[in-house]
Amino acid sequence: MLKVRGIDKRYGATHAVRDVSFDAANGQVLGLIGENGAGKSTVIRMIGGMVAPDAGSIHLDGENLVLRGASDALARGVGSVLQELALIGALTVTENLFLLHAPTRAWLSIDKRHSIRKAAEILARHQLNISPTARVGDLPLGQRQMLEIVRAVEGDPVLLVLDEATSSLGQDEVNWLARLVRRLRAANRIILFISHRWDEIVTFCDRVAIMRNGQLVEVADCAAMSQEQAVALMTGHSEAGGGFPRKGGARNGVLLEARDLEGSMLSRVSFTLAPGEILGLGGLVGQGQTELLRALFGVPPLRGGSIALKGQALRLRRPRDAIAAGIGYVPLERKSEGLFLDKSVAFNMTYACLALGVLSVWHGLIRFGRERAIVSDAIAHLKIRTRSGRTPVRALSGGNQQKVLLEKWLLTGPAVLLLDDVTRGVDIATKHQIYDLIRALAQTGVGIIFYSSDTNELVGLADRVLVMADGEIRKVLADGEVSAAAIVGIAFRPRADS
Amino acid sequence: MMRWLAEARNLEASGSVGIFAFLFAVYIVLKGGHYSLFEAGNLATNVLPLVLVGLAQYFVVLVRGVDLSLGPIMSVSGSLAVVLFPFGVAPAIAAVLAAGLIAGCLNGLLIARFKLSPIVVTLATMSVWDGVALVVLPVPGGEVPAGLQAALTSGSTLLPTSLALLVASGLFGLWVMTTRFGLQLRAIGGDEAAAEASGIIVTELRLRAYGLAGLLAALAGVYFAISTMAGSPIVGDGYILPSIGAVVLGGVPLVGGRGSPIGVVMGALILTIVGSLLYFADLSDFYQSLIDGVILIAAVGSVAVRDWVWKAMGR
Repeated sequence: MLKVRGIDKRYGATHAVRDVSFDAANGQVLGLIGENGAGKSTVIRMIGGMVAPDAGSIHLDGENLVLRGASDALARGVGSVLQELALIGALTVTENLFLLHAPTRAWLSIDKRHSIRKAAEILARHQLNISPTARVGDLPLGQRQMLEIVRAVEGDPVLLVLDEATSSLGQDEVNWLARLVRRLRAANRIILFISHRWDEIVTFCDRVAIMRNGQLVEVADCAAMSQEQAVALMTGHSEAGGGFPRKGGARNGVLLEARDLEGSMLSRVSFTLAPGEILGLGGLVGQGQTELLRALFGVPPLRGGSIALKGQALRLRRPRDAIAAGIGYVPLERKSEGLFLDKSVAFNMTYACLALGVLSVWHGLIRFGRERAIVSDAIAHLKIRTRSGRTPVRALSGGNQQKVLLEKWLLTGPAVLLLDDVTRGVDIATKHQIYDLIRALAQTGVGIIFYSSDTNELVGLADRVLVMADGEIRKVLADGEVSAAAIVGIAFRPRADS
Repeated sequence: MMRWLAEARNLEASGSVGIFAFLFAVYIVLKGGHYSLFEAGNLATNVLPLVLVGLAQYFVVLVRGVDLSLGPIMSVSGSLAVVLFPFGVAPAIAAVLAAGLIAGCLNGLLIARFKLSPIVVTLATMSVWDGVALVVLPVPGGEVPAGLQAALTSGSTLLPTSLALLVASGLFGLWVMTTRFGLQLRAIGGDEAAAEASGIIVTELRLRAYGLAGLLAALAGVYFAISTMAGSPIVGDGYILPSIGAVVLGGVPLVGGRGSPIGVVMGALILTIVGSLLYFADLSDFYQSLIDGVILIAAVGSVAVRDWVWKAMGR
């Protein structure tokens, strides 16, 4: 039995978690949902021993848990799989599995053969088709996430915390996790499950706890709650969420034309993009979608094929070429590739458009007054939750960081915007704000290429969808043909019969 | 044992082995084609302090650190050893090694526990130990029992002791890297946050890495004093740059997490053999420091060039 009583945490002026209390019984899966910045992460970090609460107590099986770090938590039977992957890319699968307790010989050297054999057993037991000697950095994101889940489960925790553990998983892999969680539940473990996908909460959890602004607003049986109710509780207004913006608005003509693109993970990719169109990229995770978006941004440059923007041939050798041509890219790894985390909101919004002279007055000198005006407009217009434009981006929640990143490109006045799974790890309410923003942008004539690992999102937002597999475009679904069944059906079809 | 040695191959040291083999061949040719076991023993005696202090630096570099005070710790150890030898050899060596361990742990405490910058901390302790060495032994000299020098350098005619110690040092480094401790050092160097989240107590491991480095530096200081029959309060200053040079030449990236102790041994051998080649080039010893610096830049530069080529080739 996990008993959380009145835990509280402040970071400077931010009251991240206020007086949160809940219980989770053995053999129960408790879902935890809330908007980004609602305090979920802080709660599970306190339970997992990464952060000490300012007040309150946490009891596990009657014992008071006062944890100092992840090592302590593991020893007390608390296992966590957090959003930031905790595997070491430079080491092998086996080394990662046995980082702490590798079998050793009499002279203290690790018994490599024995540990590889044990790792292979573990992987086989969990039906993971991964080589125990593979370097973890070479594995696709989904497999890394599964490996981390397996490592946590193998530690035989009494309480397992899964923080957005499905964010990089495809549907099959989510089903795999669902089976694993059912087994753990049958073995009387306690599981805390954090997700932004309501369908997963319903599949995985017995009960759901909803947080808003650092407070726990509701704990209820999953069966007794609908998605609309949950979203309303998360956001605090009843009308929020649910629908996608209305489709349509693509204009005639060709904005961007790609022909026979060849590059890393890409072969014979051809497509066109109309002005004002939202073109979705679908398929299983890791089939070349990210590579296509990156190639259109010039990293790494394509090996073959041609790209034309508004009828003019483009040569993209580096991002600067793409930016100059009016192409913007919001990367998957927003923290490492998109944002300067320690710089201010204003800096992050405006640095991309500086080179274009948007804010310059004379020989590149920046008009700071104009910058301030633009930034405070954007904060109000995009409903970005930040104290001011001078706040470092690190202090913002994931969804708000994503809005800052979008604004960065909006300020450059792009012709084409490339969006790489921009709603991953973003809460439901903010997701819908981002959908509205993308559609509004398309209506101004910007062409948008939108990759998402969430098929429902593609169905809801995209005018057409390119389904990719093995770096090729397997099928183009026109407006009206786009459905989850069609996308998934094509993606899963083996290469032979296409 | 064989499997355990096979591990060595995974740790990527082939480049530095090749460079050393080439330079060594050049050296033998210049000498007229003969090379005796006695000469090999001399080479081992000369290179051993640098191997030990290079390995010390290697363990620190693995956890994304650097230790500039290892040379001065050597000076203190050698000086302290010759001062203490009259009280008995074994207690003297034990006391010196304990001092080295404590000095290393002090660096580790400041860097790991209090999160201070390794460069600043060890730059400061470098100055401290330099001062301490001069207090312990104001002028070079002191007593080293005569038998000790012979026993630890030339040894028997079949196998010079120094050569055996050189091999033992390499094996020691390899052994450390096959233990859980070694694996966890690589994990910390690879991704510190992930290592912490995996349950490794990073602070403690890092402290132990610096402690081990201090211990090895003390060993280097003692060995240098014994092999030269005298203590010197300034000898370590000449090892600060070469200790990093041996690591870099050994193909160990300074960003941590990777590299082989065998590479470090090779790096130390390369720097030493270059010194011998200077003799044939009719250049004075004064050029050694200049050449060391140039080699170090060339080694770091070659890595940058390689990465640039890979990037240009679209890797």
